[in-house]
Amino acid sequence: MAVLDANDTNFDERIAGEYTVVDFYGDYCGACEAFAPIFEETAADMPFLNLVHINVSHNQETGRRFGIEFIPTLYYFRNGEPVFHTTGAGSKAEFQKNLAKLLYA
Amino acid sequence: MQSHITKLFDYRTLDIPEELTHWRIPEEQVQEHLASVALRHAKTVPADSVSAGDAVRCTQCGEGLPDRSTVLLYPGRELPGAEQAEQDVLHRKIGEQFATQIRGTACTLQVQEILRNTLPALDDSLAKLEGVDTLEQYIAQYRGRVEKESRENAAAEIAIYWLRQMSARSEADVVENERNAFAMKNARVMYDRMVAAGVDPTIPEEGTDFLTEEQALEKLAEDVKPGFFMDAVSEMVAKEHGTVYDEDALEAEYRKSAEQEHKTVEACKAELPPEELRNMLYFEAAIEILSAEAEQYLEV
Repeated sequence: MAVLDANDTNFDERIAGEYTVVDFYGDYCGACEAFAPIFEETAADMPFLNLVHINVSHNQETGRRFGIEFIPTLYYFRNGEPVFHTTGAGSKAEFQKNLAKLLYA
Repeated sequence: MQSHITKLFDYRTLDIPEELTHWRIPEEQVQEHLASVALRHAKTVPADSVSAGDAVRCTQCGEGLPDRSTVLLYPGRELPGAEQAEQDVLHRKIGEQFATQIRGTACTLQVQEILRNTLPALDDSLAKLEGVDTLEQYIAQYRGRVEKESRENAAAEIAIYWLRQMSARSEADVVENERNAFAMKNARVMYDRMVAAGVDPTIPEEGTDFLTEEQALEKLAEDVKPGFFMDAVSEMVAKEHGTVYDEDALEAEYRKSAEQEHKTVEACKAELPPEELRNMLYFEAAIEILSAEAEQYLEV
């Protein structure tokens, strides 16, 4: 499955699934670019998980709603409700650990 | 800042650590890249029974896991907490129930759906999916693109190594309170960033006794201290080569950022005060100058 694109208008619809991870990224962000392939590969490797990304440089309302100060920030949702979030790119291993926390904790 | 450098250390007297001279990418990295390209072009199809590498959607039967109707399993990925379930779900068919445990909690799951990625072959057909005629050409293009960046990064790493050595080894008049305040401020920033990224700074590098927050901060502060003069050294290197950032230059940078990020100049200044912007610009200039010199030391 591909990473879904979200914006200020469709954000709530995008996070409605049972298990969703949102990558809040922005323009001119090297760390965001470094993390993007990990996020895309995970979307391809782990169907049933809902992986979404939103560019907060162009969707500032949603960025403000979630108090995004640093990018990338990852928010982990269950049934549309935020469970926890992390900031910074991190490694694939760290991302998998956080996915496990969303799925099984 | 009252502390200042009295004599800049000559970085040209240093031997460059051999590991910093490497920039060529190993064959293993090429193969990993091809695997990830293949995954991007994978087709997801339903399957009848579970194999490693599949994705499995299960529902829970009865009690066991609170607040969870759907359980997703990814056999073979060894996700923490689901290792036993990933084993137990193997070879199950749709509709089949099985007993297992998730994070030590016993539960009974029923398989509802199985999805499998079928990957394209690692041959010319994969290259064509990427708009290139042959796999050999695709790999050559990939190497060309990545090794250019890898070479630039290696040169920059040598430049940073030189700047760190100059910062640590230059003769200087140091006001200890100033250096300690610098170290603790940066240690706190690093500590908070590690926590935000899900990394526990109190886990020791050796042994099993966790550090207290205070001990972890002190350790980070010691790691940071050699960088006390990085800003001063960067400025000296940049100015030696004729690069100077005055107020007009800073204003021009703020106007450029404001335009790129769709913000006001005042907002940009609030996010990155002039002193910090100045330090950042001198650091970038010093890296560029020293990277050009570092090129000659990279592996052939």
